[in-house]
Amino acid sequence: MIAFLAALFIGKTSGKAFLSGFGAIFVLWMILALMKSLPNDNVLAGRAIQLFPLPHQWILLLLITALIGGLVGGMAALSGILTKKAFKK
Amino acid sequence: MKLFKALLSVAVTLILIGVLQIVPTHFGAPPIIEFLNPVSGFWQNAESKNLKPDEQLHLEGLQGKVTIRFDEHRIPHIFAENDHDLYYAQGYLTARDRLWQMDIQTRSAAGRLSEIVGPKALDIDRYHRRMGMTYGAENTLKGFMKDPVIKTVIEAYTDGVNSYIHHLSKRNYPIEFKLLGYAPEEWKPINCAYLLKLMSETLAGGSDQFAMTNNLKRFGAKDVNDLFPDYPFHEDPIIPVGTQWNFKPLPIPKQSKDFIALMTDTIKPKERVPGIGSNNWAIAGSKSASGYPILANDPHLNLTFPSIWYQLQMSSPTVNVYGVSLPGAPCIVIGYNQKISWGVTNVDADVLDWYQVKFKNNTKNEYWYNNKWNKTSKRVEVINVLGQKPVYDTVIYTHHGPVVYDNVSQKPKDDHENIPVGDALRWIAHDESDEFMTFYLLNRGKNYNDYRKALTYYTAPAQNFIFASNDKDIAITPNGKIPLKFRDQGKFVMDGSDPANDWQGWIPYDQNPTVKNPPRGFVSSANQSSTDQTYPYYINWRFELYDRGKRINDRLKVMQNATVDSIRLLQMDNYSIRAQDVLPTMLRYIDTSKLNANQFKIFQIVKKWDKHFAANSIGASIFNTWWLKFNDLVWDEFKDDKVLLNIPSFDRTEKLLLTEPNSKWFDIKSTAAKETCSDIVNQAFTSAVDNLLKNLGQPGQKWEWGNVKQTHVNHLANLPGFGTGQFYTGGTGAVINALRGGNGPSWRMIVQMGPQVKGYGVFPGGESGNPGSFYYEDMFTTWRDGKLNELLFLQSPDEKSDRIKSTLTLNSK
Repeated sequence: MIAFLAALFIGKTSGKAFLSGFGAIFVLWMILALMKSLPNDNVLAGRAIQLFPLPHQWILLLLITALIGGLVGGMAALSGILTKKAFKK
Repeated sequence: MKLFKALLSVAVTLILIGVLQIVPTHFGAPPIIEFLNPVSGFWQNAESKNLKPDEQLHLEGLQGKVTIRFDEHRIPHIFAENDHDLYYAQGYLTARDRLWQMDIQTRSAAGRLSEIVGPKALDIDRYHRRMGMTYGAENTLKGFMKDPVIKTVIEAYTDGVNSYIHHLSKRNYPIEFKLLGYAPEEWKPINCAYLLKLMSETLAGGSDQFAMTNNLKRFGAKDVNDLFPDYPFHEDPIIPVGTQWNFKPLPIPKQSKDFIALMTDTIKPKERVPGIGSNNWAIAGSKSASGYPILANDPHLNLTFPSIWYQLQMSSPTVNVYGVSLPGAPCIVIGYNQKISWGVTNVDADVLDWYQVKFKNNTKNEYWYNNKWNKTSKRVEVINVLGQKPVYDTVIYTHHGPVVYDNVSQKPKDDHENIPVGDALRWIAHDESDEFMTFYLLNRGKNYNDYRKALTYYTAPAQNFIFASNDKDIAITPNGKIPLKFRDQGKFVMDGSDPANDWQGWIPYDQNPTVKNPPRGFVSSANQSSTDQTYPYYINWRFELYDRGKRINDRLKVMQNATVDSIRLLQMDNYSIRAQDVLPTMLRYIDTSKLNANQFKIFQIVKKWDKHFAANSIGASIFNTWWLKFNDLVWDEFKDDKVLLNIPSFDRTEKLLLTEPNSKWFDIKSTAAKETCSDIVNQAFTSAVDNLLKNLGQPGQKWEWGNVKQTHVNHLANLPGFGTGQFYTGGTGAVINALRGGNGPSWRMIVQMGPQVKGYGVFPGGESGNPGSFYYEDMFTTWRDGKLNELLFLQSPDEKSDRIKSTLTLNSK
């Protein structure tokens, strides 16, 4: 939502909006996850990754988290800028 | 066009979010984006290694101040100013560490799993409802609430749990709630009763009456009596042979005219699982180095993370006790205080019986009993199902209890509608009871008399309560509310229309088998027969095999100047009494001239085996496979895909092997030849060896018992990555260290009595139920390696100890 609104008001081009929306949430989620996981010695992430049919590397879970967050953020920003353009004409 | 693009993009975003909400991982259906969201998802469950040393909380409902000191394993030591606050704090702390476990266990017992996982749990929910778990829990709760002391205890405990739940934000929900996508709900006093029902289901909820009745029809009374005797061939009972019964027994009920039901359905209730068991023993001061008794207990249960037990110390002006509790139930179940220590193993009394019911007609409103038609009652069980309409399940009750299996509802309309039969269940777990009072009193017990008094409050599941005190008394009592029966009453399905088949009252508590300070200087139990055959009452026709009990007694007989460490080694003992009893005979039967080189090599290994089920033992793997194969071949007559039959016990197989070499049972039905004992032993050996060679290659590391037996501790919901995985270890079902598969010693405790009581203990796991905690499995390796932790038993909240790592203070609001 924030990405959508931010792009709605200040976004310039659609490509840039997607990238900045993606990048912002990607980085934000990664930092938030790390802030919890590092003092935990990544114990929980190391267990939780085993719930997925993936190699048992906790870092993968971090990347998936950031990627999914980023994707949603990027799409929201893209939607914002396109909405703005649609109404600007 | 631009508008279209914008709409498309918004749509894609929403779909993306939508898809991520429902994309399941492979075990359930957690919304993946919520699960991964670092603000509210699982990352929030990652606990920091930097703990706050001091914490202050203000909670509603507390009457005074509670000081809780945490040791290096994060075990709480609670110091409360009054009993209300003590149980409040127990509830609060247990919820803080084990909320999901408390929820899922009571939910399962209550038949409410479908609410959270949908129709796939309907069968298990229906089973629990129809067995009368809810009916029983409601009755038990009545008993609790009639007792003003226990009422206060349960209400305080409940308030403590709820106080924690009320202040729990969504991001702090235990990870399992996030995975399964549901929220914790308010704790209710009945949940404490459900926990007891769950223990009754595990320890006294299986039955083999159906199978036994089918046996009777197939083989006739003579063979059944021979193969399923009322007293085993090998035995070393809990109450020492020759102990005098100094009471005048009640008259034993007369056997009914025809106590076996004429008809049996082929339905399968939960089968009795053999090998459920535990050990406990106490030695007198005369056998210990310190001159004071030592008590030991290791209850064997399914091993899970979170652990089935929660360890804590509880202190108030009326009590100071240390031990383990069941998450969701107040008080300490197994433990010690400054004066006494106690522990439990399962008795396996027959407290679950089936009655054939004859209904008047299809409405099932009336049933035949005592030569007249009697009214049934109906109980509608409402099972809420996730994503579906609720399921209404009507259960018919006779005076015995629920008709668990309703024929008509499960069979096509035109089939058997004219034969309205079903079996009613009489189960001790349906009765009103007050078990927590037993633990409440034991927690505060000072001497032998207090122990005896506490036991009179206990109903089910019946336990062998062992006891040791600073007065240098030791004692053991197979104890519970045990029905007064004629011999073999309930060995088979009974005719429910005859009042003579009903339970005719109870064995008086003071006439339950018991022994205090026997001359041999120790008491012990390992689920074997409670007594020798002179005890006037009938408890059951079969108990667990004598192997563990015999080994414990053999060792304790010769033990002198015992220390905690000698007792610890005995808890880890892997010596097989079965191998001692049967292996020499089996070896003698082998005709080595007929073995090939491989078989001979393997024969030599098992011949030299020291009979210990040690992790690195290859002989143990060979013997075990050989014995199981032998047993299989002997009882080929009992293999039937259509009819449920009960296979004779290992004890009976042993008798056959050792004393009846020409028995007809050795003959294999499917062959023309007439086999004898020797043929079967040889055949079993070569077949076992071939199997092992095929599966494991030439004898080597893969053959080691620790690798063959596949031991593991799984997460309660079998979540991959949340358990231990397979680990290498010794032990097996019939040795003292009864560790096999995912079952074994769930808490090992040793208490050295004396002016300064010292406790030692460990369970596989940790105090925290959170897989993201450093205290989730911090005691596991200590347990696996057969070591114990010295338990920190504080005498006051201010006692100095460098083992105390942090303090939590609870204040009233």
